[in-house]
This record gives sequence, C-alpha cells and structure tokens, in this order.
Amino acid sequence: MRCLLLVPALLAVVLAQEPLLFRNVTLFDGETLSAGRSVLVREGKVATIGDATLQAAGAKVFAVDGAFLIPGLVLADAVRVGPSERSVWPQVLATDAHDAYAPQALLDAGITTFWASPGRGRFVPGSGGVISLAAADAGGGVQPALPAVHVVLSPAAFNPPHIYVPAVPPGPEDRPGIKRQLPRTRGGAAMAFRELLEFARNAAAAEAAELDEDERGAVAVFADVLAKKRGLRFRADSVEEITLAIELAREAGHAPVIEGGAEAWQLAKELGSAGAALILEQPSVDAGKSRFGEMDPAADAAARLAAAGVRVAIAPLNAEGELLWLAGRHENAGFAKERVLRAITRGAAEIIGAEAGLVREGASADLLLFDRDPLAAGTRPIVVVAHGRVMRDRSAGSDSPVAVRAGRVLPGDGTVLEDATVLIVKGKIAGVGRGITIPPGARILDLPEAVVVPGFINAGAQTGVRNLREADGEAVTDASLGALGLEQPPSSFFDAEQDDVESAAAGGVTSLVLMPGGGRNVSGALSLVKCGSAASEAVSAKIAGVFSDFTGRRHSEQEVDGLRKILDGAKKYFESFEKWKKDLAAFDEKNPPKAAEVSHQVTRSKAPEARTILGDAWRGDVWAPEVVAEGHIRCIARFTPDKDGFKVKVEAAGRDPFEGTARFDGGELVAEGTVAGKSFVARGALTRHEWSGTATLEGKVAGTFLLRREREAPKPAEVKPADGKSAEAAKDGSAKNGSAKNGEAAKPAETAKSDEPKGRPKAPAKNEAMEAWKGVLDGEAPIFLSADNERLARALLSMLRDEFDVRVAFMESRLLPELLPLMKELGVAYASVSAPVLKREGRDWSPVLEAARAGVPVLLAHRDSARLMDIASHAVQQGLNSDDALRMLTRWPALVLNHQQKIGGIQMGRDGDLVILDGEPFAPATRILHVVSKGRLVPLKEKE
Amino acid sequence: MLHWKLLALVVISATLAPAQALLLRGGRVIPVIGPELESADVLIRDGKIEAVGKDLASDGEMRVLDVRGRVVMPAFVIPHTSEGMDRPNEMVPVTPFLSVLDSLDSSRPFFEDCLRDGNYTIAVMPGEMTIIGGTGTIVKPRGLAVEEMLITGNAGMKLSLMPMSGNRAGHLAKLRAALDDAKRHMEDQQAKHAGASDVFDMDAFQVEQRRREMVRMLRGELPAWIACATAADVEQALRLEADYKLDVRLVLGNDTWRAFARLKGRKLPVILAGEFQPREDDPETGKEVVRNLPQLLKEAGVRFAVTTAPGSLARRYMWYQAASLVRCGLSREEALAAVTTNAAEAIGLGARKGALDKGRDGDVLVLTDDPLSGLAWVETGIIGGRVVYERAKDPRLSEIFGAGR
Repeated sequence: MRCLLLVPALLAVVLAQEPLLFRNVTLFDGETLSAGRSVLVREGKVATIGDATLQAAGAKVFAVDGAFLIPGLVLADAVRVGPSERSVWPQVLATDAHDAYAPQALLDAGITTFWASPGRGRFVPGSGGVISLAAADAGGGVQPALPAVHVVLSPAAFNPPHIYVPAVPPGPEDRPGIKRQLPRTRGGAAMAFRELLEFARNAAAAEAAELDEDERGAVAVFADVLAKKRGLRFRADSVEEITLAIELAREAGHAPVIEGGAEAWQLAKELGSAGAALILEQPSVDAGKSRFGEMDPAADAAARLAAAGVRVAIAPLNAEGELLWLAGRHENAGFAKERVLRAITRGAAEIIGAEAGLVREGASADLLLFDRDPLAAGTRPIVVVAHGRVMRDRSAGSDSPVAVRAGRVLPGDGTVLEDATVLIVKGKIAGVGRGITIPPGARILDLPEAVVVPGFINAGAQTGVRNLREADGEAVTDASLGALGLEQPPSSFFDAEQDDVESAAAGGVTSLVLMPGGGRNVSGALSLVKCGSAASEAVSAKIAGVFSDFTGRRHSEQEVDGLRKILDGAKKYFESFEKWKKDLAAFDEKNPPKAAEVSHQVTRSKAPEARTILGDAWRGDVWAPEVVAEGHIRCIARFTPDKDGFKVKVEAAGRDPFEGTARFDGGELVAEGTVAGKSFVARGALTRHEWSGTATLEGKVAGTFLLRREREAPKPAEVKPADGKSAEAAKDGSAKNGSAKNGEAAKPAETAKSDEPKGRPKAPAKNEAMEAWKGVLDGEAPIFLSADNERLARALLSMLRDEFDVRVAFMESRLLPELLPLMKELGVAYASVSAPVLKREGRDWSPVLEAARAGVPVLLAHRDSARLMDIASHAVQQGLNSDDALRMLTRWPALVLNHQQKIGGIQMGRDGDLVILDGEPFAPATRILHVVSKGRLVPLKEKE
Repeated sequence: MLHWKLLALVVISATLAPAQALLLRGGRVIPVIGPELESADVLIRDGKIEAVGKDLASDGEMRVLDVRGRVVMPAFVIPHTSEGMDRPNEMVPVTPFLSVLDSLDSSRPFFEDCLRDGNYTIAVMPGEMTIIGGTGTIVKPRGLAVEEMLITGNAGMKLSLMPMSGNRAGHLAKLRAALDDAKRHMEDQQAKHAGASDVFDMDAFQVEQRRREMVRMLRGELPAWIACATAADVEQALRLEADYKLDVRLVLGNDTWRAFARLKGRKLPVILAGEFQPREDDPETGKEVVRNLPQLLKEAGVRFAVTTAPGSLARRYMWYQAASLVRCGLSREEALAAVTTNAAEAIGLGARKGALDKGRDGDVLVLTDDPLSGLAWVETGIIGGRVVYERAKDPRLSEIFGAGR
C-alpha cells in the first residue's frame, strides 16, 4: 500500500534526471571487482555496463583517474528510536522515525540504504525496516521490505521501568496501577519470548492472561512473526546470548539473524549450520597480534565466520558514518577486499531484505564514485548517487574556469596590478592582467571595488584533524594529535570535510601546515594541506618538513648531539642508497640486465641544480595583453652560464629579442635586461620544469609568464619499493599493524630476486622514518624548531645551519630579541605561533613586527585558522607594514616550505588560491568577499 | 412585574419568529465568487441570500439598510481553532471519545471577539498536544447554549502527528494501535451481528459508544483533521490516508513546507495554521532563511485556507491574515478566498458559507473600508439575515471608548 503511494512522486523525480556516465572505473558490482568498466545511468536505473570506451550523448560524464565505482553502502543497523516505557512493544516501527526531509548525514558517508532499528535499550523495542535514501521529494523512502521484530538479549535491555496505568477517565477513587515488566535476566528474557510465542499460537491462553491493549497488539505482531509475515532479529554478543538466540529463532521457525556478535567467532560452526546471518558490530577488529604472537581470534572474525558459511554484514556500533573505516579495518585483519565490499553492500542488503547493493543493468542506480581504493584509510566517496540522482558531488569542484575582475590585484611579489583580471582554469592560475580573454562557461566575479590577494597559508595548526581511535571498544574521534614520530604524517589524520576546515577556508586560509603535537626532539612530520578545495586533492605534501620541539629542555651537549646523530644517521642512510645505486650501475655495466628487468632505481628529487637545468631550452608564454595586441607571445629562452650568473636570451617569432642577465634572488630567478631598448625584468619561481612569475616593462607590471623546460630530464622516480602496494599500505594503514607493515616494507629488496644474476648488489632496507628526512637534508623542507633555552637554541640553530645547511623556521617568540641577529646571520625564518602582541617588561611588544623590521622572514600561524587574518590585521594596527603582513601569510611561508612554485602568489601556473577583499588588506573594516581555493569558490557562511 | 414579562416575550418572539427580509442598499459588494460590484444591493430572506445585484426592488415588508460608501462581503470562516474551550487537550493522549461539544463555553470572550471581527463560522477542534484528541464542532459566535450556536455537531476527528515525547515511532505506534483497535472492533461487531441489518448500523451492530466516532472516521463518514508540524509528518499523514482510507484534512505548521510538492494534485483540504513567513536556519548552509509558505503552496498548486492565530494582536483578524497573504505574493482574489470560500470548503460547508451568492447562508459583513486596507471595521454583522452586531451599539466598545464613540 505504501509503495503505491510513492510511485507518482518517484516518477516525477525520474523524469527530471539527466543521464550519468561513469567512465573507465574499477567496478565492484556487488560480487566482484573488474577494471576498465563504464556505467551509464538513465532514469534512475543502471542502463548499460560497458567497457572503458562507452559513450552516451547528453550524459553527464564522470571521468576520474584511478576511480572506483561501487554500489551505495548498505548499513545493516542504524538506531532511530530511543527506549520507550514498554519492555515489549513490537508495534513500534522504527521506519516511522525517519525524516526524509532532514539533511541526510548518512549520504556523506556513502550510505544509501539502511536498516532503521528500534534501538537496544528494551527487550523487544520495536520492529526495524529498510529505508532507502532517495531524494526528499520522492517521498520518504521506506522500502516495502519485510519489517523484523527486534529482540535484545543483552543486559542493556534488562530491568525495564514499571508502567503506571492511569484510569481513563480519571475518577477520585482510581489509583494509578503499577505494572511490572520482564525481563530482569537472560532467563526472564527467554521466558518472556516463549510466552509471547505461546500467546500468538494459542488464542485461548492469550484470552485467559487478561492482556492490556498494547500487549494484545504485541501478541498480534508475534503471530505475524510465526506466519513469516514479519522477520525476527536478535541482538546478542556473548556466547551465551548467541546460543540462546539460535535456540529462540529455531523455536519461532526462523533462521537466526543476529546483530552484535562480539563473540560470534567462537560459535562459527554452530552459526553456520543454523544458516545464520550475522551483522558483525564487534569493535575491536584490529586487535592485531596478541602477546604470544598469535593473531587475536576476534580480529579476523569476519573471515572465520564467512568460512563457516555464515552470511556476514559489517556495521559499526553507534558510529554510523564510519562504515567504510570499519570495513577497511576488517580488510587489514585478513578479510579479502571483495568479501569486505560485499559485506557492506550486497551481503548486507540480502540480510536485511533490501533491494540494493548491486550494480546490474536494470537495477536502481545507487552508486558511489571514489578516486582511490574505497577501503584506504580516510576515504570518502566523491560522488554519491541515489536512485540515479546525484546527491553529493565533490568531483567537479575546480572544473569550470573562474575569472575575477577586480580593482586591484596584489600578486604577492610586491607589485600592484590595477583593474586586472585573474583567470583560473583547472584549479591553476591561467592568466593575470588586463584584457584577458575569458573562456566561455567561466564563472565571472565582477568586483571593481575589490582587492585580490593570494590565498593565505597558516604556518602551523591542527585544523581538520580527525583522529579515529578506539577507547573502551568504541570508535572515538579526537580533534588533536600528540607527537607522531616520522612514520605517520599528520595528513593521514586530515579530513578536508571537517567544519573547521571549511571555516578556515572561509577565513582565507587555503593552505595549512599540519603540525603534530610537540614534546620530542623529533615530534613528527609537518604536512601541507589545502583548505576549501576538492577533498580528493586536499593533501599537497604528506611530508613538508619536520617539527623538532626542545621546549622545556636545558642546554646540554647531549641534547644538541641527539639531533645531530639523527641527522647524521639519515644522511648515512641516503648515502647507502647512493652507494648501492653506483654499485648497481657498475654491476649492470659488467652484467647487462635482461629485458623486463625490475627497476630498483631510487632517485631523489633535488633542489634545482640551476646549471644543469638552465642548460636546456625553455619555451612558453608571456601574457601581456596591454603590451602586445594578441595578448600573449610564445617565446623560447636560452641561458648560458656566466661568471656571476647566467646570460639569457629570449626570442619570439617576429619580435625583438630580449637579452640580459639572470641571477637567483630569494629562491627566485630574476632576469633583467632590455627588449627593444626598454628595460625589462622577469621574476619568478624556478622549479625543475617550470619558471613562472611576473614580467615588468619600464618599471610597470606588464604581465605574467610561464616557461617550461623544453627537454625534460629523465623523470625522477619516487622512492618506491617494487611492490607498489605495500608502500601505500604502509603509509595509510594503521599504526597498530606495525609488525605486519614492517614485514612488508622489507619485501622490496627480495621481490625481484627470481631472475636476478648472482651477486647483484641488494638495496639497503628501507626505513619510513628515515625517508622523512630526505627533503630536509636536501634543503627543500624546513625544520620547525622550538626551544626556550637561549643557549640551547643558539647551539641548535648553528648546528642545523652550519653543519647540515637545512632550512629552519624558529618558533619561540620569547627569545626573539636575543636571537634575531643570529637568525638573520644564519638565514633562519621566524614562525610565529604566539599572539602578535605580547607583554614584555610591562610594555606591548610584537615579535612579528620586530622580526619583520630585522629582515627575518616571518611565517604566521594560529591555532584557529579562521582567525589568521585577524591576527595579521592586529599586527598591522601595531605598526606592521601591510605589505609585510601579506608576505607573512603568502610568499614567505611558501618560500620557507619550498612550495613557492605552487602557492603564495598569483602567477601563472600556481594554484588558483585567491582571497578577495572588499578593501585595503588588513584594514580593520576589511571583510572577505570570496575565497577561491584551487579554482573552487569556497562557500562563506554568514556570521550572525 | 407585567412589563418584565412583556419584555421577555418580545425578546423570545424576536428570536423565534422568522426574520424580516433584509436589503443592504448601495454598497460596494465583494461576493468573493464573481466580480465586485459598485453600488449594488444584497437581499437576504429567510436566512438565505436571495439576490445580489443592482437596483433590487424593495417592498414595505423589508428592512432596508443604507450601506452606501460601505463594503459588503461574506462573513469570514475560521477553519480551525482551539479557542472557545476551557483547555485545548486532555492529559491522556488517545481520547477519540471526547467531543468539543462538551467543553465549549459560549461565554468566553473569544466568541464576543468573533462577533466583533466578523468571524461567523468557527470550526473549534481539540488542540495539537494529543495523538487522537476527540471530535470537533462548527459553531457560530451567537447563542447562550451550545445547541443554539451549533452549525455542525461532530465535524471531524482531531489527530496530531507532532510527537509528544520526542519519540515519533512510539507516537505513531500508539496512533496505529488505536486505529487498528477501532477497525478490529468494527469488523468484529459487523461479523457478530451480520444479520441485524443490511447496511452498517451502529445500533444494530452494537458498536460500543466509546468507539463510534472512530468507526465513523474509518468508514469515511467523519473527516480526520491531521495536525502536522514537519514535512515528515505530512508524509505520515498521507500514509495514514492511504492505509486507513481516511477523509483527511491537513492542518499545517511552520516546518511542513518541504512536503508541499507532495500535495500537488491531491485536492486535500489544507489549512495553513502556522506562520506565513517563518524564519529558520537552513540545515545545509546555516543561514537564516525566510520561507514564504503561502507562495510555496501556491507554486505547488495547492488551494488552502488560513486561520487566526490565538494570542496575536494582529493575526487574530481574518482581514489582516488576508492582507498578509497579498504581501506574500497571492492575488487579492486568492487572499480573500483563503479566508472565506476555501475555508468553508475545508470544513465541508462550501455550498453554504463563504460567498455572497443566491441560496447561501445570509452571513454578511458591512465593513467601513476595503477588507485588505487594514483600516476596516465591521460596522454591521449579519448572521442568517439577522443583524447580530452593530458597532455603534457595541456595549464593550462604549465601555472602553466612552459613550461618544
């Protein structure tokens, strides 16, 4: 009857839908995984499943590299009703509590179908049913699946309250009656259940028992259970409870369906022979190895139960949104990927009797698109489709071009562009200046009064950190990190969808240095992440530096030596690879390798070795619409080394060549000279492959340029073991699986041994913790150093700069006046994590101001990313130059982090990160109008 | 002593004798159905409207009221209120056997205000703090005894889907239990006494007194008025309609607007009982948004009636409500219909009330100004062709404003 009601509404929805095409995905269809498939969705259903070349006119196409497509997740247990006064009240339908018009948080987690459960707080709390999350105007979404009566056998449901029965209508002599309810014990539960069955079978017995109205209703429901018109489901965790559930289900003539099942693995055989279905909610999946080196039997419960023939679904206890995370844990514990995926889709759907969990032609299109393995840690679907309609879409964030026309653009290099346009295509800056052609379909922000500055960089915070761990058997989310060590970068705890990330982005922070907690001389790695951009590209660098915390330590040789030894060790570690490489090359020269040799090449990307790199030709565009009629000039640049730098000649067809000299200045390459008798300066960041920046003609900014290296050097292979998967697993996998991971990490050296000639040098053992030092020792990634003892700080700074020549940002404000001359001399930056104004000897004193005046680059950091601009504004009111304030938020952190080619400026080729202000930057009344992060407009919540 | 008796006789005869025919001469007539007429007449005879038009002939028998410069329109219809009783709900949530008839209090100031404000048809229903609240009734605001006021006895059963203890599933379980119980009783009695009558007869089938109104509702003889607070409640109301074949009337609160699209084309009587433009925090963006409910209903193609808001200074006037609807984007005609014809239809009196048309009840207002001007007062109120209110003689007003008023 109810489904009939939904039909017209569903039809209306279906007719309005555009077809969707998911092209070239790895498809899990509910049973098996297969690569290179395409799926076409039409009118709410899967219309065609084809190969990677499938085409469909007029369809919205989702083509994401390395994408996975799986059925919408099926959550087999989602509590929707709290405990009522009655111990036995199967008439309650949990599906009634579903509000199809409320925002559906489950869709964020990729759950499109769930079992609305009446809870666990009463013996028979009600009946559950299937809800399918369609669009709200499709009307509810209660599926016509068989509801099932829940019977809770765990102690949480015992000792129900007394019922007070008022007389209707109330009279003076009527006293409220008290009714006591069962059960108090498991025995009482069994008795109460058997009594209900007896009443349902035997009307005369029910008559004699003088039941009240609600009790008669309950008996009627149990009659439906006996007639198989309603299902039966038990909650049972311990061996005793599960044994009782099997027995009671048999008495009622049903195959046991059990949720919970913490100790079910001990009864795998019994459950298997009873034809049981199990919704496994036991939380301690990854208990790992026990003290005796054995796998904890509970950890691989899913695998054991499935092997015994039990139908298994996986569901989290209480934490509904963590279904994927939990599934990933089960995979780690040895349940095969396809089995795990089945247990949260088709397998779960079969157990709850839902029409869901399959990708088949003609089936309802509930689909999830992932940009990586769905079971990898921290993964969320980027597209969620329910009944053929896109409910969540995080894939297309930066696709359509964005053009900002503004009164002023401050690209971050000290120049000012009046009435300029910034064009962002595919998340990157594609043009800055006047008269830029805006491609069709671009989103245009026309803001003649606005000032555009680069997206801000918060140099240190724990914004967006979501630390999932287990406490007392339940998943707990923590919003802070302790010291992590180098094996696990903080980015693995980053969740770009957290509210505080959104508000950070709304506050103009588009990049963020994630810091681990302090307290150790190597507290952990720093990660560079994006705020406000598409979730799939949130992590810019897993390891962007190292945090070294000496706060509270006194000066001693041992302290300094401790860090020195670590760095020395790392240096030796890398040298061992270098040596191995040389040995290998020498060996291979003597014994030419056969074809199909597995490469063990390990190279490190190095700082641009200018002389080698600039030896090549550089080709690209200068975008100067005001100077040249056609807007941009294609040109080729050639550098020749000279005694203090380079000579440079830039040629463009049919134009006067530019000739001049080039030198490095503050991490950037600056070319100065003349073109057609006019002075010309090109200044920009240089990487191995790109040189991009701003071009100035006769002292006026004329445009931007982007040149690419013509002949690319052999592609630098990443440090990667031959077995690519294990590296991923090692990085993303749980830290608790430590022993297993180390075992895998040691594999690469052995992998290729089969065909290897004898005596071929073997690769040294890889060590994740050491790998983090690579960037630091190459002078590419900074060490953020904190020390509050002056002598210790001096010794550490000198050691790091003089002995290892690493980038350093010093974080302690109180020592700043004393240390500034040394920092300046050594070239150490200051990362300000404290308030911009402090009290010192009774007077206001701003370390930021002080450092900026002394010519030390400053990086601004604040715990609350959303307040970063306020902090800078505050410093400006104290007398800081607003240009310097802008540098502290953009260019300086980008330089110190060695990401100047990507962030911290508005130049061609960099990330499309913009903050659009309604007035002078850092003036007290200035507000943020818009924030663009990698070309995506960040939604700004209006504050009350 | 004698003159007291005489006076009493005069009063009684005035009440009992058929009313004199009444001709309203020369006013601007808003019939609500059909175009407005300048300087037209309305003739009421035997309690019913006999004619609306220009230059109607008068005879010596008629009482003629000169209403030139005044506006003549049908009296307003309040399609849903819980005023006029001592309290809106019982303490027990399932009380289908209660009737508003037993708790109406004709002496409450609400009815006096209705007389003054031109609300001459009032559907008094049990309140929302209930599951099944009992039956409501439709009255006019004149008369000392309830029987005197009565237009329709038991006009409908009041159901509420607003969860009383925050437990929606439990609320609905209780509601269904009560419906199922009545259904079972109805079927049992019918089967037991099948020979007693060919048609369904409550007495012959010995249907229990306490369950009779529920049985009438399940048989479609008594409408079910379902109060909904949220969009999900509307969904449940539609399910109840389908599952139990109820004759449903919806009483909609502020948060129901998300379900308006679901009412499209269903022709269910709808009463907008909440605010017209409630504010809410959008759950997706967190922004405060004003929702224009009348406009949204109009866009969904739903005809609806509005009602008064108890305790509100301005919103207790139906003309203020109509004017607010115009501000919300409805046309003048739609706004006036929402307080007259639509409201009458919603309570099953579509043929009798809400418009100036031949054959309808002679419930007419003479206003000092256009009803949407915001400055209008009821100068003369007429129920069933009888003048029941004259502002000039309003004792309460003269008490407040002095004799000069």
